[in-house]
Amino acid sequence: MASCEKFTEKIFDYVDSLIPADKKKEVQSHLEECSQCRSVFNDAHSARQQLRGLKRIKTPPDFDTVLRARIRMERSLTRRGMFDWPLRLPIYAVAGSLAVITAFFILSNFRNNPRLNLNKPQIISQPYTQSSPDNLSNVAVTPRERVLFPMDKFSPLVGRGTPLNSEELDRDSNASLDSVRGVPKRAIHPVEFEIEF
Amino acid sequence: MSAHKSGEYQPTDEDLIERFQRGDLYAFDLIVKRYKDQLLNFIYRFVGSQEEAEDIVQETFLRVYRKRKAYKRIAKFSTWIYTIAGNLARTELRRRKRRRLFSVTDMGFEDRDYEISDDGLSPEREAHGVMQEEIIQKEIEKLSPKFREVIILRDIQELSYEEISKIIKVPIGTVKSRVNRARLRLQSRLKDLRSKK
Repeated sequence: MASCEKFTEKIFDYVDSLIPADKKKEVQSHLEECSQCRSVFNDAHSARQQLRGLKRIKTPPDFDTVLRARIRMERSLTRRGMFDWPLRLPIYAVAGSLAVITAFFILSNFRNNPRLNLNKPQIISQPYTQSSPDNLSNVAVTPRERVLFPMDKFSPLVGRGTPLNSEELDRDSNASLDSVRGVPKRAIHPVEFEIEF
Repeated sequence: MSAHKSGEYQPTDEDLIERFQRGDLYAFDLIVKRYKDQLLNFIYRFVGSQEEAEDIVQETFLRVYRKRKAYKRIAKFSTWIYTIAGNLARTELRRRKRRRLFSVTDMGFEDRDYEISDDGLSPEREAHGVMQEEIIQKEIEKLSPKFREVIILRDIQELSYEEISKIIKVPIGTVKSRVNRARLRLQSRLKDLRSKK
C-alpha cells in the first residue's frame, strides 16, 4: 500500500505522458503487479482518451460578419460618445441657466413672503399673564389670544381628536376653566388657542 | 502558435496583438481566425449550449478588441484570451443558476443543436457516436465548474498544466489533482451508465 502511494503521482504523469523515460519502466512494472493501481490508471486513461476523441465543433459561417457588425456598432457608439458632447453643449447650457433662474426666483419669493417663514411660531397679540389659581381676580388674559404655529398655515389637524373651529375651541376652553376653577390651561392645543371670558 | 509553418513566416499571437495594439485591424482578424474554433469548443463543453457558447466567444473577442491596450507581453496571449473566455463562461453559469431558481422548466438535452462534421461513418455508427458524445457531454456538465473547467482545458483543449494554472490562477499541483479527480469521477459515472444498459 505504501508503495502504491509512492506511485500515485507517477501513474497520473504516465496517463498524461509526462513521465521521464527512466521512470516509465518502474511505473509499468508496478502496474503489472498492482491491480488497484492498474484500475486507477485504466479509468484515468480511458476518460482522457474519450475526451480527446470528442468531435470538434466549428463556428457558423456568419460568425466573422456578426463580430464585425458588433465591433462597428461599438466603434460608432464610442465615437458618438466622444464627439457628440460639443453639439449638445448649447442645450446643456440653456437647461442649466433655466434651472438656476428658476431656483433663484423660488428662493427669493420664499424668503420675502412672511407667510412662508417657517422658523418660529407667530404670536398675534400679547401673551396672557399667568397668575395663581387662588387669585382669580388677577387673571389677566388678553381676550381672543391666538398663537399660530408654522404648520397651521398648511395643514389643519383634521380628524385627530383636535378641535377644528372656534366653537369647539370655546367649548374646550370653558371646560378647562370649569375643571380648574377658571384657570385656563396653558397651550392645550397645538393648532389654535382661544380663550374667552 | 509557431513562428514558422510550412516554410512560411507565421507571426506569433503576441506579435499579432502588438500589431493590433498599433492599429492593425488585419492582425485582429488573424487572431479571431486562430482562436474562434478552439474557444468555441472550450466554452461549448463548459456551458453545454452551442448558441450560448457562440455568444460568449463573440463577447470574448469584443473584450479583446476593447481592452487590447490592457494586454502586456509578460503573459502569453493564449492565457489572456482563455482567462477572458473562462470568466465569461463562469458568469454565464452563475446567471443560469440564478435563472433556474426562478424557472421550473429547463432546456432538455435533446433541444440542443450540434454541428457535427461528417466523417464518413454509417448512419448507425454515426448515431451511436453522437449518442456517446451526448452522454459524455452530459456527464461533463454534471461535474462541478472547477473540475469541469480544468478537465476541458487539459483533455479537450490539450493545454499544459502550467498554462491552465495561469488561466485559472491556482497552483499547478491543485490543477493536476483536480484533473485527475475529474477524470476518475467522469469515468466512474460513465461506467455506471454502461453497466445499467
